[in-house]
Amino acid sequence: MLDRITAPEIKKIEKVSYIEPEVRTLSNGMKVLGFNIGSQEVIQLEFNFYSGSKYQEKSLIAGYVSKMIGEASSNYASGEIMDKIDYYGAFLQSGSDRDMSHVTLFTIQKQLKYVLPVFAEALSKPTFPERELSIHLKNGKQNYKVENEKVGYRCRQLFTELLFKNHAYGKLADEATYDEVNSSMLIKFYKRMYSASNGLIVVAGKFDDSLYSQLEKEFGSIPVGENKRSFQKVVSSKAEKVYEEKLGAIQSGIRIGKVLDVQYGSDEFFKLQILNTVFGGYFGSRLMSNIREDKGYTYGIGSAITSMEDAMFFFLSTEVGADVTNEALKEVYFELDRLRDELVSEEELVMVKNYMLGSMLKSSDGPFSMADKYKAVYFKGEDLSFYDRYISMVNNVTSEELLEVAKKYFDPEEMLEVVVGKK
Amino acid sequence: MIKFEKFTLENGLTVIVHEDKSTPIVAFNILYDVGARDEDESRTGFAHLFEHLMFGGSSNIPNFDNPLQQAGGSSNAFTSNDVTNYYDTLPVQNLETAFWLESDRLNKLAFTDKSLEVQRSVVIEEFKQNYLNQPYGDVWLLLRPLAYKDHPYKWATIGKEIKHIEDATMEDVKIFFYKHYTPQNGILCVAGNVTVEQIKELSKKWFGPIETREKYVRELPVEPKQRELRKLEVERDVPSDALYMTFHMASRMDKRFYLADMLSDVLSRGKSSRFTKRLVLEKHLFTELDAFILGSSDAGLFVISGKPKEGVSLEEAYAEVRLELEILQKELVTEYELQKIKNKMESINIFGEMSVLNKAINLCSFELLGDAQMINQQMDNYTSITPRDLQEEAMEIFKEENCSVLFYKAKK
Repeated sequence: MLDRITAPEIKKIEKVSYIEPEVRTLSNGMKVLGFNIGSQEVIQLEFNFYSGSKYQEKSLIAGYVSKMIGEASSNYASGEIMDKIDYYGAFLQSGSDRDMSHVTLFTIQKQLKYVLPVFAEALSKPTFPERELSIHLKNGKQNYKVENEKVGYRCRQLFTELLFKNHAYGKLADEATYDEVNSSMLIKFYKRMYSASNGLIVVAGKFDDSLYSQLEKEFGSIPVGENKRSFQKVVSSKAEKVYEEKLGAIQSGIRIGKVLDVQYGSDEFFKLQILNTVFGGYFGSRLMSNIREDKGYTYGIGSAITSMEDAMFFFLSTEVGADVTNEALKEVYFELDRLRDELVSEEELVMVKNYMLGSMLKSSDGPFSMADKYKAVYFKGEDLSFYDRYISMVNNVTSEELLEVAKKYFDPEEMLEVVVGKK
Repeated sequence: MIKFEKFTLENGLTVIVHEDKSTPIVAFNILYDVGARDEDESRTGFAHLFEHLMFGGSSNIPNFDNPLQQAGGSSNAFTSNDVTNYYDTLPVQNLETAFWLESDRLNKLAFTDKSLEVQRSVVIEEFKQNYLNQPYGDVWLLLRPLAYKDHPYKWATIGKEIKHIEDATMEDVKIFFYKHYTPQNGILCVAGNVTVEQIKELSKKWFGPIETREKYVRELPVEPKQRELRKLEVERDVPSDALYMTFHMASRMDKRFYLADMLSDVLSRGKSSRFTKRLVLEKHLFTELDAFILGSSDAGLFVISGKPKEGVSLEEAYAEVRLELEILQKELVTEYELQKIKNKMESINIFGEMSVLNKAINLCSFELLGDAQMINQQMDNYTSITPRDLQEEAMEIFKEENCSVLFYKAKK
């Protein structure tokens, strides 16, 4: 008779492999990191620039600059570039966060030589025509109005503004901003920020060495420019409770958190990541177990620690039934207190450790993921030894150490709480 | 080309093995041939609620997720109108944990009252979050019953109304389980650094002892042919108007399925597609406009959804979309456009092969449709399409009498 009660033996994850990239430099000084490690005939070519929203004079500029690359250029009218990129079956993806912007080409290997010159034109000679921009802005404004109706979105906006009150991170677009941006602002920002000295190329997938000479040919003439990277650290946030009522809401958005004054890659940083996983970082977390799986107040709840160049912050977020908003808040604070009052049991800690090692293995699988893992630490001034230290901390951390960082950093009295909806 | 091997256990469970030596992660995917279309009209939302209950413990294992997380893995599932699909990814050395967990919940669920009570609430919150407390959230609750009159595709997987979920009893749950969760109704695929021998052994060990249950035979009403344009207008508290159109199209196994899929690509795949290029950017009548198909097993829907720019009426927006559809009926799609779409599909196909989980889900889906081998024949179905084929399909599918229109108006 088969024993269905005893779990099969679990084998520990012994190691997660991380791979160093090949480093090349184009004649204009632009650095190239190459991860030639794939088994599929695909390539991801990503241009990163230190040109996130914290450098813009007005909200939306950084985002629309990256978004409009690929739409029109000196030699191609609007739509022609996209038509060619689509024709070769390639994809262009661009975006901008608070610190950086990226423009990425995804292509299958056999189309690379055709699509690369088109991509080069798109990236190095964009024109940002006023007409297309105004269409994007009108669409953006309409979309903003839709998003703003959602309690989850509104809650996030309010939380961000309050958490980073006196920093560029907290300056967000509102409806009026969409009427204030114009083409010359985008051109100015592009010229200042999209230069060889202010960026980095990351290429991953399966390719041969001739790729580097192709990159030199197509991108070696991007202007040298200068490095615009700058920092303005945020080390604390104000604790307050903010409630915005939304008439007719049947759910409330909740977001609670604080800025953490912790060094990226330090022992405390790793401990906080582990503690956060216990609290709200995976399906079996305490927030999920209590507020979803025991009480049924929500479809989902989670927490995270986000590290940006100028700030690190902890937050939890959820949407709960309006009628149970107060009960859900009570449970959230109950879980925060429990984290600071009790040791995590050995059983729970082992589960979290194994889960974390498994996710590390997963998130470094394949060339694109590997490149992402490398970039994540590279831009923070770290190297791959970061992951060795992280894994060693996951393997060795004790409940006592977690309790200590919980007491130090997770004091509810220091948290910002934002609720949008109905209490 | 995705290589795989397939075998069937004595109790009827189909098992597919795909070897991929390049990854330390293994994907364990199990698909059950049950979806919202198999529900009783007075108890909708059940297949999906059931998916939640499958995580509430089985007869020998009180909690599904904890042991999986102990093994460094994670898990999720989705329910559609056609199927319920469960997947686990974990480090390959702990694969057996997935066999242990998944076989125990197919063998027998725990059926605890607590789990039913909590998951009812969770699903009700999901209903509110995604379908009610969101601008445009209720669109599919309106569109499905407009487009379908008889076929059970007329309700969404989340269910027709919250009440059906509130009313679910333990008795319903048990009946549903034994009716649909049978070895014959399951297709398992394991993809990763494994061998066929190893999977044969593990499957026999864990799934082999599960008894064969009565085979459920699906007998669904056929949707009668639509003979007149249907229109529905609603007013909601949203920031702007929205337009939705649906057209009946062929079932997944029909050759015409690929034609409809390609027509949707001509209209809206990529920034250089007709809708984006002409109606969003050149004429700027819409802020967004999409065409897509619901790739359902039975006869499905071709859908167009868009938001007209402020100042453009829904009538005007509708007329402009009709014009584009008529162009497809009157003029041949150019060879260039067709090649563009074929190239795009080739890329999507290759990129799709980067993930073992993706491959495992697709292998199971094709096996359900008839044969997992179809995964390797998909490109041929598209490459053989000619401009003439597309025109003929456009003539058929875009007939006005085949269309249901929803004017979703913003309350002023």
